[in-house]
Amino acid sequence: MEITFREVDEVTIVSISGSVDGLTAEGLQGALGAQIREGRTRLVADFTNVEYTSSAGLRALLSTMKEVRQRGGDFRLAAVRGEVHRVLELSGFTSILKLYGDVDAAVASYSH
Amino acid sequence: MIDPVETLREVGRSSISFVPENKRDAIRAILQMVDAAASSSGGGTDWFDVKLAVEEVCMNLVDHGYGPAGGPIDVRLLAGEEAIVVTIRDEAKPFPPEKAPMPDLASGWEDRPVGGLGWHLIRKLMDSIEYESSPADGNRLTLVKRRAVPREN
Repeated sequence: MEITFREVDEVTIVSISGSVDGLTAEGLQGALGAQIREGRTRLVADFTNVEYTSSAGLRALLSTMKEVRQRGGDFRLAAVRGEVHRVLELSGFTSILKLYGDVDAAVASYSH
Repeated sequence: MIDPVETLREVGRSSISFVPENKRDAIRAILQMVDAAASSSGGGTDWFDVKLAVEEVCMNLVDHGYGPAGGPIDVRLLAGEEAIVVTIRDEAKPFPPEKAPMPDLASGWEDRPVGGLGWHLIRKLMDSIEYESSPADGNRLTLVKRRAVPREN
């Protein structure tokens, strides 16, 4: 898994590629937590290149979402692919996380 | 029961002596083995599901099943045109799958517990789950994923 961060319109975009699994999820959660503690609380995760996730990944997503919402921000997902989207759906995450078709829509959602 | 519908061939196997110090190496080796089996078998959604199920079971073994002394984890993958069969043998503390609690999938974000989704996903994604445990032979979990292949009738 690789992660990169960039800022657009006061929104922090986290581009993730590869697998968010039992080997990588803690690293992702740690990197996102560091952003949150630096005051970046409008987060968008770009899932375009995430090909796999397991319950370890779900744990990282839910922890991050809870941490940032408790600070008045949000963690929104963009471009979640078919099989990964199905895992989120089966786990009841699509009813608590906000998902958008692409990064632009997710970024724009913060200015509505 | 698994129907003896066809001849299955072994497409991957990983036999590991797990100790907590090599947890990441053990999980990495098992996941790489599944990835290689998936690639050699054409990949696809069925293999995504199998990889997820194997990861969930093995993560539970290394995080909860085994104590500090560790023990063996043997993952075997068999595949045919109609099914992928996973067998996982271990000598950890027995954990019959029906002991896994049903997760909370409905409450709001504030009350949603973090974790506890592994067995839920395995149940959703696998077509059959069998578990045997005995003091002499250890634990043996068999998961079957029916393949989404169109069949001629």
